[in-house]
Amino acid sequence: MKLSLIIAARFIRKSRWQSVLIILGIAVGISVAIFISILIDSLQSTLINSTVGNAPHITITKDDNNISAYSDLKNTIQNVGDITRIYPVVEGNGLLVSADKNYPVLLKGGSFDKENDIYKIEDKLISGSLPDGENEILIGNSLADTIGVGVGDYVTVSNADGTENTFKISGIYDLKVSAINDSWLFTNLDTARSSLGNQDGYSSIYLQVGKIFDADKIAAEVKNRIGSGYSVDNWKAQNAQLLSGLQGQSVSSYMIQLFVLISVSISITSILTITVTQKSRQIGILKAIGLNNSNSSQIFLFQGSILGLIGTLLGVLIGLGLFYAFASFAKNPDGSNIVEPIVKWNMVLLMGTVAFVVSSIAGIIPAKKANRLSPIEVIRNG
Amino acid sequence: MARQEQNIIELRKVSKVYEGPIDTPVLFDIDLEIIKGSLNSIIGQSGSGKSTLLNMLGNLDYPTTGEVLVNNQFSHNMKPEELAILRNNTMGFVFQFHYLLPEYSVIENVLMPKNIQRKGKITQEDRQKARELLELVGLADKMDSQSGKISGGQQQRTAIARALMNEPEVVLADEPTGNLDSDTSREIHKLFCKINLEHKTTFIVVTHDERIAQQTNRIIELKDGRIISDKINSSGVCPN
Repeated sequence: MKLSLIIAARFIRKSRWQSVLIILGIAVGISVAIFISILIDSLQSTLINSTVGNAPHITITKDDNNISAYSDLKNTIQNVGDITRIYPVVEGNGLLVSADKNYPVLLKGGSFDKENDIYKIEDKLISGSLPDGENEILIGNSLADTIGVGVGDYVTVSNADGTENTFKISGIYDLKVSAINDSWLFTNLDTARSSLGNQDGYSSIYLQVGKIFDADKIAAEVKNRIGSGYSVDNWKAQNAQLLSGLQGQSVSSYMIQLFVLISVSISITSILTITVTQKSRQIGILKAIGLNNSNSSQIFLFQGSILGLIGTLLGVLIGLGLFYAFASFAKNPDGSNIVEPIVKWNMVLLMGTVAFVVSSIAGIIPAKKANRLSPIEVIRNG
Repeated sequence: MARQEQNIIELRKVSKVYEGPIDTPVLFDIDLEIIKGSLNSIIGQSGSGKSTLLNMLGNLDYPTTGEVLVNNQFSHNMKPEELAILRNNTMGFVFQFHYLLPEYSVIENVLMPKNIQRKGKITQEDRQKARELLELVGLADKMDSQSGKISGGQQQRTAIARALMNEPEVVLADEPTGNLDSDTSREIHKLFCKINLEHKTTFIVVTHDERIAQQTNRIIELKDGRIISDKINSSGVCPN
């Protein structure tokens, strides 16, 4: 085995340009597979993050819009799955009354502490500060622009039942979602309760989970624990189209990677098969002077493995380099990254391993050819 | 003829037919015994079956019918792996076209049979032995040259050193001087004689050169795949 490895390494070293071409062929194939894999993973993560990163993954509501037994409910569900945040809110619809037009709004009252606030609103403030006292609110930047108000101004909101409340604008946020920026007003729990007439309960409980793709399973378990009377919804059910799009993207990415691997393995096999033909004279001599069939075969298995290993390592580096180059050049007009680089190292390791194994397997056909080669063929035919 | 236990190789009723669109019979019912420590030549015209006979003796090729014995062991029905070990330990080959490995230097080529024998773990003693063999064939100054970049005669002498590396019991040489000038040919035959005398190594040399055959102890002549004469050459003397 050691001898076969030494001979394989010598054959590779002495056919320098051929070896360089094979390694480059493998490396380019693997780099494309790695690049596409990371790009699609990162695009999906960016998309999912922007869609549900700052939104509830699971929403618990009640028909009467008043969840009063919050503490019990919290104790019941907090150990389900990998729930990371439990965020109760009081919310209600209203109309923002302006001089010439009324605007439909959603008044949303909740805690602003960073631990629990799923919207991370403190980080999204573009001016002003978080509501501090009673009757202070945050308004979206686009709505503020539309009605021409700023921090310190007052707005009047009419409830569904017709009562009107006046709020002071303590800050302006931008959640990068125009539907929210146009209509949501954030406030603290007490203000929401007093203006919406919701004395002690909550309208909804929002949950965030660690594994967002398990949200449907966790939601089912939550529903199971808290019993009837509650509705439990999850982001996957609400975003079926997005999910099917992502799934389609993943499948096409897997297909591209599969075909890249197939083409890499075919090219290694064909080049190594040619190498056996080129080296048949040497294999014949080695067999004549006593190298056995299995060692002769191993030479080509090792050649496949060595070329595969170097090509794969190089391919992984090129793939990562390409991706980081792409990520650093592809910027939004505001200078932020279009794609947040997210490299799943276990995926890179898996692809590298698969590529290496495929390259090694690609040596089997030439190895069999070497096994069958008889020294007498070489000696007779010169 | 010598007693059986003294034979290194024995062929019994060996025939060889090369199969193809038209089958080509090459050897017919050859019975041949090669005595240990002897210096033999096989002569005959082109196409008489000399090389095929040598390949049978060297276990490089299988007979179509008949039996081959090496050291009184049947070898014609051995598995390829067993034959590989037999060839590596017992035999040294010098081919007409030298067949060196161009990827390796001169000394690495000489070391290759030992490398195979020791599964890649050669020792300092092995290297020393290879150096001595290269000195013996007059290539002390070419040890580290690439084997493809030395002259034909030097390549042939490297092949001879390689054939001797594992101290084989028998060296089989197919027209070893066929491509060499007469001075180099004479040198190589002197070397065969010297090793035969000093180490009692058996030599079987295929040649079409009558003068070289005359310097061996036994001359086996082939014609159309049959042995037509097998003479002990008592006057066979090695060149000085």
